[in-house]
Amino acid sequence: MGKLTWSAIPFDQPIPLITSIILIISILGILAWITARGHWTYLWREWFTSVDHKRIGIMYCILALVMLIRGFADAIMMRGQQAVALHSQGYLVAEHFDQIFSAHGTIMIFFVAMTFMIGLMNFVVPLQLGVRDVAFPTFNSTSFWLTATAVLLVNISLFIGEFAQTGWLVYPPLSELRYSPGVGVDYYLWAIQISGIGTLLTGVNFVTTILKIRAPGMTLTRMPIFCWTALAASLLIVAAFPILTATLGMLLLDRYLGFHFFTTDFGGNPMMYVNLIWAWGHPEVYILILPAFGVFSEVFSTFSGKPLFGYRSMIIATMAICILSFLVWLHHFFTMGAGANVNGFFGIMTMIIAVPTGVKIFNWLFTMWGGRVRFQVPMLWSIAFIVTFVIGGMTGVLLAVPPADFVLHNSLFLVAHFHNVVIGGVLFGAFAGYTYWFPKAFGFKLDERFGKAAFWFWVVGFYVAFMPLYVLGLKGMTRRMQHYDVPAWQPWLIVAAVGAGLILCGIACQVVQLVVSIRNREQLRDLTGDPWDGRTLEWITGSPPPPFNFAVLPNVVAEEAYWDIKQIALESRRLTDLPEYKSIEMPRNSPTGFVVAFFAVLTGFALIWQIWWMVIIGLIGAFGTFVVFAWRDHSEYKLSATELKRIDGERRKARVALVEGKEQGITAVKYKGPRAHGSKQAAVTAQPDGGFKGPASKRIVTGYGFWIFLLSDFILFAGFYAAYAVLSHATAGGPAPKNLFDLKTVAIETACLLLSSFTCGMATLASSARNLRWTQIGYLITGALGVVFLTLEFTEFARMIGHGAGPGRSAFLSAFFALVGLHGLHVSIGLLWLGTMMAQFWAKGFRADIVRRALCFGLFWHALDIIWVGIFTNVYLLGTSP
Amino acid sequence: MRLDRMLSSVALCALSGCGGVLEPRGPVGAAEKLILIDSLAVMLVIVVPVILATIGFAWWFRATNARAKYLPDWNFSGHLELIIWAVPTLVITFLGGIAWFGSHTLDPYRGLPGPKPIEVEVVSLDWKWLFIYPDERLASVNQLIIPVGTPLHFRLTSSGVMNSFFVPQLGSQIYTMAGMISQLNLQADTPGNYHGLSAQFSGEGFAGMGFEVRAVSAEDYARWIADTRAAAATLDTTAYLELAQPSKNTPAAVFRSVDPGLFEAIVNETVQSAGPP
Repeated sequence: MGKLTWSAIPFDQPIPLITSIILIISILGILAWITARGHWTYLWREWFTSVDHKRIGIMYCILALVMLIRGFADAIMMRGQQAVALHSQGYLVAEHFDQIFSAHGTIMIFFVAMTFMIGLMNFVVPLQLGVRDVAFPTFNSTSFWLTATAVLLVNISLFIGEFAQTGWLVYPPLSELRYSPGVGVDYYLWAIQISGIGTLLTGVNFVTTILKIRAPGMTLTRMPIFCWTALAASLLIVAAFPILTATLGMLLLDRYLGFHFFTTDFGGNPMMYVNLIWAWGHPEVYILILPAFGVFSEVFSTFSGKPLFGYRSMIIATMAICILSFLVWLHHFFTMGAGANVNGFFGIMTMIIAVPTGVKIFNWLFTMWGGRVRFQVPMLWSIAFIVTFVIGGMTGVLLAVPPADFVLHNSLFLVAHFHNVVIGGVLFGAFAGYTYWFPKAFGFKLDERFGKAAFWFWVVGFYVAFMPLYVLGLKGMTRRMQHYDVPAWQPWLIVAAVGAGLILCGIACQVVQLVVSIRNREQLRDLTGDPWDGRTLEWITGSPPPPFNFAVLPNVVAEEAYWDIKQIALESRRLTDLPEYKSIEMPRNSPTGFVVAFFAVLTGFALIWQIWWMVIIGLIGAFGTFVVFAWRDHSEYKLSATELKRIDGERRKARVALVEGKEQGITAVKYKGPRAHGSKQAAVTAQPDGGFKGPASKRIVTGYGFWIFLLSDFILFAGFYAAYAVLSHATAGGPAPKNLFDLKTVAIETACLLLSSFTCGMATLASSARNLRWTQIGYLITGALGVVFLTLEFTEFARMIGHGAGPGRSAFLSAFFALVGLHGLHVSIGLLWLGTMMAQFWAKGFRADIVRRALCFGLFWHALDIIWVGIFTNVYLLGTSP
Repeated sequence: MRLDRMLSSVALCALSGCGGVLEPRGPVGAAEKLILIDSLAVMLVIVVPVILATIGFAWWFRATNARAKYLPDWNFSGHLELIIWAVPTLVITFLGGIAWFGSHTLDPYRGLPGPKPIEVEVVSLDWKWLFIYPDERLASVNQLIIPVGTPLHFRLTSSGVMNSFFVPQLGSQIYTMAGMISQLNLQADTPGNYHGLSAQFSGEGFAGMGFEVRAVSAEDYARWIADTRAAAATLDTTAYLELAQPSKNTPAAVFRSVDPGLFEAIVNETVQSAGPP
């Protein structure tokens, strides 16, 4: 079983052992309960295999809440340890303490903050866009299950083996095999790589959905601001996550295959890792905070009874943050000694981000101005957010001043700062969104009293827990200390531990709130679908919405699509006329995501413990699952017009109460004079739909999505190419490019690939002419050329390794093999894909979905060609030029 | 911890200070404290009103306040947008200036004015600090003795994993990285003992990487040099390799007759087999 032995189980460490035993027992208990109640079929049919964006969104949020408790357990253990560890070892040995803070960071960022935000995006975005689902529903389910896979792996590390003891960003050289020989770092790396694939798919999915699938008339500048922030976050995912995948991939190569990207010997460059990881890491914090900004925007507007102030200004600010977030990564290591100009530049760039962020704060303030502010729980979180976030923003700008950072870097001041913005921003946003959209998801509101209690415990607890950390940072206490010998620190650490206790009470209130709300759900029931007097389209449909969201896609004529429809209905005291129902098609549920995740768990676990046969089983299983998915004949089910009419009729019946003004607090607003937005804007536009006719066709959506994916793939290559550029002179006394490459072989490889691109294009032409024979012949030649290319590349690699120029010889060779090997891996995957597709054409003929995939394959193959031309010129030609 | 001990440590802290970056004992730390306070003050000018306005607006425009005017469609004002964009821009322009000039004047590589600086070579080991005085051929572990009023020029590296050399009361920290030399210029103006530490997590023994900085008068410094020359153990390759073995909470020690090429050898990783087991 590879490296796995009985010693992997921590029999000698009581804390993790007891925790895992309790966890295992409670999980078994839950499973037994589900079995006893016979819920498995329901769960499988309605949830595990569901491709409904609402269900997936809810599962994401549940996962995030569970992980919040896990991450918080780590937090309170650390606070407890530091409160007592003056001149003593406390109750946690260093080995364990180091795992705890590494796991805390990893879990809170990846599996709480990001998972929660993606959950909200999933649930809300299609509803707000007035459509029925995301662009790729089955991939969406796969994304979720891959995230769940990573969560499972991280938690398995508690019981089998260990977690990383390196901090949540696993900086080398500490994370290299030499200093961290255990499996802890491998758990981290594989978990994050697997969840990264899921996140990337989410990014592609949501960019495509938001740009291509919206209700008729929903132009970009009529989109709710939450959709804008979701778009910005998704774009950041597409652009930034490939960098993470590349960086962690390099570290994996170092650890598994003896490469030298980040080692301290053979020319490796650990500082390159720090640069690369933050080139992902800084955009990552905006991936988290931008959707939270979106939530606050919706909440401020709804609970002030006013449109969002400065809507367009908000869009500009969001997109400005999106771009700027890529230009500030160096502020995470001013203390590396990069020089005054570099530090000054990145300091200023960092501060510039405060401008659009400040604009947002002011716009929220003026949204409240002239409003009728209702202090319900989501609004409380939002107000606490502004107060807390401006403090966090201020300390952030302070840290962006390089000389200030020289004394505050890595101190508890920094820890206080990022908790100040992540808790005060992201987590408060998550809680606001959770309370705000809960009734939409489940059909009843959350209990207000416990919600407010949780709010106060959390907010007060936050200040008590983190303000002392600012003080400690100023007193020179650095982060991640298992024990210390400065007595002046201890009182503040005790206060911070008390704060953590208050937060624990807040979490307890949230658990009780959920239980109480479920119990009292009949009193808390939302009958009309619009419990908060909302303004965006999710409130026009029932709570919970039917699987298809909208029986007829709404026609959007202005910003705040629903508000205008509602006001007209309230004024005239009648609903809109009965629409003409047409039958619709909805995607069928699919176990693909779940099964792929099952194999991903196998693969991940096997890779961590180096059980190679299991790796092969897992990979074949995952690939096979996708083939089976691609093979299926019926991907959709039909809902008849009569059925739709019946379901929608019930919704309309329930809404009559709303229109008649019987719903508490919801009445027509008396406007003075003509309306400033909405109807007026619609009147001046020649086309009421603003030129946007509704969701694009499947062909367009598939192609568009694939383009976005290719963009991320290019960035992946760019990451490896950047490493190559940095390391190309780090030959460590070994061979240099000049006397290494055999240009003749490489030229033949290039010719093969170029030719195969041509034949692939011919095959695509033949397939659009529906000529099966020439399609297959074209693909066959393409595949054959691909095989020749790979064979030549393989012999070339073998020749180099035979001459002692393998990837372990120098950092330059590591980067070379990784870059060219990555391309080779792409070609191999392309060949597998090609083979599958040819078999499908042979068996199924020109079925629409196969033709769409063939189109994507063509794009993929041409992209590989373009990348190869780049490698050929930059690596081979320039490398050998005199 | 008993309450009286806790209270006494709070009182001690208030009376004698507790050695943070707000109580600098050298020119670098003092300049950084000034920048810190100035930047904070500038930002508070905006941040405090924003916090008050948030609470004030929300309270005044509460739904139950009949006196507050309801403006259900007031969602844009060009003038206000101009101000909204201009105010943070102005503040950031000002702070950006501080950041730019501050990062130049306080560049850790920039030498300090005054007499010829004392050279100190710093090596972070697993998990302790080695300080080499190349001009005196002396070395110390987890203890840095410096004369007050004299600039110090540090050259720093690491035997393996990354650390960050930091004495909060003297100012700037800087990373120590294997195979690379970073530099730092500091100075202590007041005699005293200052707490130093590693500010970059470096593995199991990280928490025990604290060290003591003793800033002493020139005479005491000279006496320390003489005493160490007379009494301490020597630091040759064998002794270094033994020292470089991972150890935790290492007590302070001093050495004489340090090989003058030791620091460069550590940087170039030519000291034989210095890795952990």
